[in-house]
Amino acid sequence: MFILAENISKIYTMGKCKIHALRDVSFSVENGEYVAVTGHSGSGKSTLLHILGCFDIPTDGTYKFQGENIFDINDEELSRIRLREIGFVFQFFNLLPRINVVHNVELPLIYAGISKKERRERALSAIERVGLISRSAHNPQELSGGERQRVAVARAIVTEPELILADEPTGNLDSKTGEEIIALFGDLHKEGKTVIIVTHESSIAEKAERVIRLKDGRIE
Amino acid sequence: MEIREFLLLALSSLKTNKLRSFLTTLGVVIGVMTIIIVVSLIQGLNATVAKQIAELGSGVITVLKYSYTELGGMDIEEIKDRKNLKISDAKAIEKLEMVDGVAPSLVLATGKRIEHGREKVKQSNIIGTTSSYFDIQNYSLKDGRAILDADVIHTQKVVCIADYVARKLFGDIDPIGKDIKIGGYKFRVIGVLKKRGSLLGQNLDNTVIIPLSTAQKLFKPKGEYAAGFLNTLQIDVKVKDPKRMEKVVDEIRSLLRRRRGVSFDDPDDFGINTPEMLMGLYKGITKVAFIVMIGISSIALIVGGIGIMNIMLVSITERTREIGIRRAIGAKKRDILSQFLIEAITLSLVGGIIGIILGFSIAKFIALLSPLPSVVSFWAAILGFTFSCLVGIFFGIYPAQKAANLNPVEALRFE
Repeated sequence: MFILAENISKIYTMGKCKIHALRDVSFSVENGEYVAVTGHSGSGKSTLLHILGCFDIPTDGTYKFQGENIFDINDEELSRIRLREIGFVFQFFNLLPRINVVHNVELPLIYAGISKKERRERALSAIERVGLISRSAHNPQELSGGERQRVAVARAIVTEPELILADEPTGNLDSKTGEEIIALFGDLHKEGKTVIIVTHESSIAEKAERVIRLKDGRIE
Repeated sequence: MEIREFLLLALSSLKTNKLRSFLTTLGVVIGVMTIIIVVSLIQGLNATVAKQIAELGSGVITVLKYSYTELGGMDIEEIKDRKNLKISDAKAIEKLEMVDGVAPSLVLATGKRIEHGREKVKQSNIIGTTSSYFDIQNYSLKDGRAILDADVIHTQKVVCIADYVARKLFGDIDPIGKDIKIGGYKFRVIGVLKKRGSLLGQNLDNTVIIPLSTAQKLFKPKGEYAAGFLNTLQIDVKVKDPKRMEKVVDEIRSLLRRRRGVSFDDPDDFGINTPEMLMGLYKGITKVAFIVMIGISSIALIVGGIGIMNIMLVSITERTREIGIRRAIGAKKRDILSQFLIEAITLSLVGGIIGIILGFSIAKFIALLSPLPSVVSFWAAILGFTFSCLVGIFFGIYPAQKAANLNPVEALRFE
């Protein structure tokens, strides 16, 4: 069992209001699965993805990542899991604007303490995989949306993680470039990676092996 | 993540906001610059004074009826009332085994006019002494001869004048053999002293030297043993081995206590002064100036530090999303902390280094334009460097902690 979520709840407190983003969500994901999480906006998809990515911690319930209960480990180990085991791709790309494509892709490797030479090699090969090698020296502002998202995918895979998490990766792209990006995730899945995509587009969800539908913080 | 990576990161982020970074470091620049200027000038002054004091004669003890340290002003009246030293005291000291030579001298109250024709000098030191004084006080002659024992024995009205006095009275004319008037009495010039410069702001070249006996006969206002603050006999003692100064001081002390009848539990009613004491006295004065200036510079440094803290807090707000991204891809809290702390330290250190360079340059410039000397010391540079580093750490730690403790999910959502 790769991922095991049991009765996960997440409550945000905003002033006096309590917002139940997730209520009693339970499911599991096996190694190498391709899962889509769908639902309307505000259904708790992103919150769930953050929790699955060890980026946020549930208010209640149990979450086990590769058998490890995340309540049992500290911030440092959570960071290590994000760095080594998980690659994140976001709707808004989240690249650092002031540094070029190679440096953006190298970033996780810097935190992993990898030598400059090896870093450069690995970053370039990740950029090559997403087909952007000619744009390596450009800054993100000089790239189109689709190209930026490819850079983000390159950054997500550069540490060779087991799990790829994508939060509305096509939300800011036209349908053609969106399809190209989704095709990239398909390839990654074929290579044996576990892929979880959050989306509200059914056409994208159809490509996955399994769909988890969220409504008002619950699994339908 | 290695420290080198953090450093590169800090430099690149400071470079993107050049003007802001520059303005932020100004406080530290000014603080460190002041420290460097003050330290350079005071050290320069110290070195010069130490050299001058050494030139006055190392291994020379000056016995007076007061000690230099008593001049701090406690009880001047009590000092005035003390018995003067006697020439016989000088003779007794001369007999001590470790003593090389002794020169009794009488420094007369200034205010006596020294004239030649229509030229005159004022505020001169008139020293009445014996032949040994020249050697012990390191006076060398530019021209003519020194006071001899015979001059003292015969109470001759002869005088050795310092370079400054010679220039004032005679200009370019050779003064040897000419007559000058001191306090109305006619004296024959027999020698001209070499230039000595100044010590602690006192011109050492406004001096005339006459035989001790003549001084006593003509200018003794209230008798040899009369009480008074000036007109008191000074005994300069040259020791054979400067390394055993302490021992000689002890011997002179017990000798004088005996001769002056100081009872067992009373303090000395005289002072045995060494060049080290003079140096100590001087250092005491500069230490105060030093502490005051360091205090002022510290305020500048604190203000600079607050500036750094302020700009770091602004920068962290601006870069909240960047922090979120870094956390999402696997940066630990500690990585974020280091990133911003090192950025603050870099900011402060760059200011410190600019301050060190400016400080040394300005100190050199002051030294060129004024008689104040300056010393470029490694120690001062280290001090400036350390201070700016500490400012960076102290004022950078809070913003860095704030950045590290941001909720990563919220940081990532930040617009």
